[in-house]
Amino acid sequence: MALIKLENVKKVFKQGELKTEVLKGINLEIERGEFVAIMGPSGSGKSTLMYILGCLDRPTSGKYYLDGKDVLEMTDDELSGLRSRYIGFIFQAFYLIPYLNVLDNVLLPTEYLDSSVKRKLFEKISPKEKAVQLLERLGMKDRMDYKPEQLSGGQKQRTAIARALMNSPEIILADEPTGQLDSASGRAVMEIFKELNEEGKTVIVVTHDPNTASYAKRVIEIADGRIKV
Amino acid sequence: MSISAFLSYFRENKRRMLLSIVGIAIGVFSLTLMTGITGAMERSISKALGSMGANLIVVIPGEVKNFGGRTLQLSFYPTLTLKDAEAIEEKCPLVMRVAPYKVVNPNVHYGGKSISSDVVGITPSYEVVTDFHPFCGRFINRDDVENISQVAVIGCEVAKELYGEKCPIGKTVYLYNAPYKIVGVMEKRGTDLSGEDLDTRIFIPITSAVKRISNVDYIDGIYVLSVSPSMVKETIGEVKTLLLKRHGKKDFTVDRYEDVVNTKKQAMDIFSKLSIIVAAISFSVGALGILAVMTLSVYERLVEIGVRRAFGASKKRILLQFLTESVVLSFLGAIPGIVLAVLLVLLVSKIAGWVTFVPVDGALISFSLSLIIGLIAGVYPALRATSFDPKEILKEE
Repeated sequence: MALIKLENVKKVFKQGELKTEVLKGINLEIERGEFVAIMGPSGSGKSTLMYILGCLDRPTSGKYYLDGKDVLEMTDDELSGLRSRYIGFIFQAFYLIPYLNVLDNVLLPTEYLDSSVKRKLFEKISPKEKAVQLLERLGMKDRMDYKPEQLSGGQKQRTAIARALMNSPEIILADEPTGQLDSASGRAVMEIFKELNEEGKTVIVVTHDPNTASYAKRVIEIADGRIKV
Repeated sequence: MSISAFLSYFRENKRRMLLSIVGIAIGVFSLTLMTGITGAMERSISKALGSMGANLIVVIPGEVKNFGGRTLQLSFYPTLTLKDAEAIEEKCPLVMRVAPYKVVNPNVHYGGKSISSDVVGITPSYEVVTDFHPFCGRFINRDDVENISQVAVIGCEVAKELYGEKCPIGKTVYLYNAPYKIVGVMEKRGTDLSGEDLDTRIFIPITSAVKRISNVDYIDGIYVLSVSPSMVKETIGEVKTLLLKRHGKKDFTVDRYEDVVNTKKQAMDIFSKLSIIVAAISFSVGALGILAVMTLSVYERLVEIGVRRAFGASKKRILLQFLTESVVLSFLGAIPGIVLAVLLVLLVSKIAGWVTFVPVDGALISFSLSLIIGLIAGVYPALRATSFDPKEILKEE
């Protein structure tokens, strides 16, 4: 069974009388362990697709099954629970919380785990130990007490990656992860994604940059609300 | 984590946060202070009155009026006698105990050292009526009164000042030049309601005060103990009727001891009302302060809200987070307010010589009020925080 399955997903935004169909029937399956790039120009609907995949938004019509669960029927609480377990978000502008240090930023997602899930996830290792481990792996261990403003772009994105990995999600969902990085840091970040994918994580990168997309094993091009075949 | 996270946010925005909680701090301060001061006073009053306070009536030879919170004895008649006291005890069925007194002010000295001290002539009943007991030795007894004995029971401060010891029993105190043997030392009591220091008093048999020292036959007043607090009014009536019959005219005042001596009560009431008004205004200002700062913080932290939502925070959790923060903010104001008020109450009590009293009730009420205000002030910003669509926040750059 596919980890992600979209069936004829449509999304319509209404602004008063004006209706804009952003997604015009998307059919898509992504298997566990895939490395997928979703490409397309701005306005193509790729961001909307990403937020639907990340359970931050719901399709207007169609079906979305995440790990076999019908997302459309879920309440806000259930959807939030799904995000905390399945999705690790990474953003172009990093979105670290400015008044928290690196370690606390990485620990943030654990606040929102269901207590039973949390117990299971941190049976053998405490959240803090895991955060330190992740930061060590990403070369950020000596910056744990730093505030985001004291970090370079690459360091911020590595912190954000550690945060995204904190709850051991099935899917890493990255929105233009290299958009604000110089090319060297960008390449380093994509290498990390490659490594994570090789360890079995499902990685979905939304980008308009062909270099970034080239790391993916499958590229899905989207234009005018449809997947290009 | 989420409260400690908020405290980090607080540290980053100190000045603004401090300003927002000043109102709560002042509200809590004035409320706690008010309950503390009135509480300490009430305790002191009931301690000064003794356990019999509620039953206690006083007969004063003359007219007594209360002017702007001060009791004044307008006139004095040398007509109240020990015989009146005996008659009250015998003929008024609602009277349980009678304790006449006579205050004299002789030169008090010992070993070349003299002190100023109120010397009070009393009977053994005085101990019961005022619930004031010797801490060592004995009190004045019936024989002392009948024999007009030259014995004295001294206040603990007198013992300290004149003899430099706690229990100078057997020693002599000189009233004018008459030697009085010390048979007891009173326990520490502090000041009475009119602010008189009871620990510097010397008690002698009333007969000695009236006949030996003053050489008159009138006394300064009679304490009358009613059989029950609910019968005080009726008892006053009985005593009045009897005295009117004996004296032929109203040359005396009979009233509750509490009402006659408790001169600070009116001032206290004004203070209480003022404090409540100040507290109400400050709490409203405090609520507005928190509302403003929390709303501002929501708009400042839109990205944080988006990120938290992305990582699994439901709307409920966001709502709860901002409500919690608002309550924490309110508490942060309440704590210094309460601490300051309690310290001030302790200080004032110490200076005024009142019973040490920590206004636990006032502190708890203030604390709960600040909780409620924090919650109310937090509702709007918290709802605001949940009203944003996370993807709109996260999309924006």
